Amino acid sequence: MLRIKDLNVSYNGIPALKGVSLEVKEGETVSVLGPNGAGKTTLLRAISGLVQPSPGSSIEFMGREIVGMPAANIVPLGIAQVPEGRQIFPELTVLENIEIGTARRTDRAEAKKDVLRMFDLFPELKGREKQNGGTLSGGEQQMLAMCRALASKPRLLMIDEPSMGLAPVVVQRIFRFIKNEIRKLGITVLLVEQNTALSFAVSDRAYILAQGQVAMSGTVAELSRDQRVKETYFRGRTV
Amino acid sequence: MLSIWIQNAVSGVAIGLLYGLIGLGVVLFFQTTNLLNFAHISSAMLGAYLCYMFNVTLHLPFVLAMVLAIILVACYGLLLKRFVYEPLAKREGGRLEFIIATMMLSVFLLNAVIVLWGGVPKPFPNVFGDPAKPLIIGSVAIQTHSLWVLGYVTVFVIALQSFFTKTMTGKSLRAVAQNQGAARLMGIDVEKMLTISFMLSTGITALAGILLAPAYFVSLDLGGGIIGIKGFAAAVVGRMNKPYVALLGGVLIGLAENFVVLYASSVYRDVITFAFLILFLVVRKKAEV
Ligand SMILES: Nc1ncnc2c1ncn2[C@@H]1O[C@H](COP(=O)(O)OP(=O)(O)OP(=O)(O)O)[C@@H](O)[C@H]1O
Ligand SMILES: [Mg+2]
Repeated sequence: MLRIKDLNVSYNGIPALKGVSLEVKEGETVSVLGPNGAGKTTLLRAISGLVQPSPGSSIEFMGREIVGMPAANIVPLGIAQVPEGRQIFPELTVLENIEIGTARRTDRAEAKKDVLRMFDLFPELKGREKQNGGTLSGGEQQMLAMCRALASKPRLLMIDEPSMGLAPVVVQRIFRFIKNEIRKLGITVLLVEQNTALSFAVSDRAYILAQGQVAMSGTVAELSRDQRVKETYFRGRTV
Repeated sequence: MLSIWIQNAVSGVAIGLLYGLIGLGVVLFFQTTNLLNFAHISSAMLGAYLCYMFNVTLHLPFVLAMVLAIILVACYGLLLKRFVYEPLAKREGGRLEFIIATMMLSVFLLNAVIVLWGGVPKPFPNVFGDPAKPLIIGSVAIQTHSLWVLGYVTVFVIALQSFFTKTMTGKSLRAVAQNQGAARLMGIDVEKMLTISFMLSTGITALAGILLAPAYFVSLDLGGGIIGIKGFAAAVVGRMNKPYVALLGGVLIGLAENFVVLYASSVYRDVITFAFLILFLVVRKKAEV
């Protein structure tokens, strides 16, 4: 579904991604792990068309080269992102935030129904339709950001650090949602996360990025057995 | 005394709503582009002159003349985006250059108007009723122009509000104003939204210019600094991000200047009004910290 080859991205001449290659197959949940500044967010931004990769980089989605496409044309292909820090529109209502997710859909009638379906996926948001997005708690905002992205009816959903700054109960709720509901919807997931245990629990495979390069990759089972992974990324925690 | 008070309040609110409309245009533009257009007020002048041309010179009905003038000014907004904003936006430091370029543009447009229509103010046709025949309610005389302004602005604000809350384009514009990056992520064509906000802000200002013309004549004053600054002041009262507070800010200015004229003198109108505004901004800043 998604095939990235030799992806290079730099900011003002300073490289953030150096020859990253990565693949996500239809129906999989794939994690990208790595320390702060490893380039995880940059990877997602490159896929969404928010940063321009260097020449020679290739990102293929459903067999189609998408490097160089404007961001506005990438969403309609079926790629949605739940960005780092949620990035809710603070002064749009909860309902409007979700509606914005359908901005590029042409099946308006179906899109309208999908907006309402989001409240069944996250009943926590019910009764808050008219409230401004900015007045929600962090956890609710994370749920809203997921709804907003899902409303675009994506084939590939990219989620950037959903656990950031949230209470453990809420984190559990979000990850259970990723593991069960999103899979049920048949949506492929590319998940960026710093919490190794959590991301392994919901993923099939994982890539570990370090300093802009893929340091390791494999199935979750393989990686959990790897001594280096255990020492560096679990820091004594158990799955 | 009370009747004079009411008369001044009504005309102050009416003129103030028009300053507010100019300020609202400033805010809508600033929210999406993060820029100030120093030729913003030129749109008011262009609107008034074009409407005058269509209505008086070409004998078109007033409403048609007004709509055509607003559309033409919005098209001018499109050109402004295409030929001034876009080349500069690609450049580093382009923001400052845009501000300076629009300052020059406002002088250019003033002179273009002088070349086309001459510098002598033209009286605007009495489409809003004869100023010599105000509406008399008891001992209160109310200018029919004020009532028309209230009507036009009310209808316009309701239309604008529905556009922003009921249409996907309107919601997308608000999304772009609140978080451009996230809007891009949702697939919103940000460039297109910027174009719309250029057309919206110039078009709104053209409407304000046309409605101001009975008070200021069809004159270069409509494209000049003083009204422009009142528009910016209204925008600042709206903290550059609250369009409707900017509208109220305009009302505040309109009321203030009418009562300065009433209790002091028209000579001091702008001096006292601006002094009051500066004081207001300083005091408010303090109250916030
Ligand atoms: N807009 C930007 N301008 C300049 N440099 C940037 C920009 N965004 C990211 N970088 C740099 O690129 C590198 C990768 O950043 P990125 O945000 O992709 O890391 P990350 O893996 O998502 O980190 P975190 O876990 O902290 O979110 C970092 O060195 C960062 O400083
Ligand atoms: Mg990141």
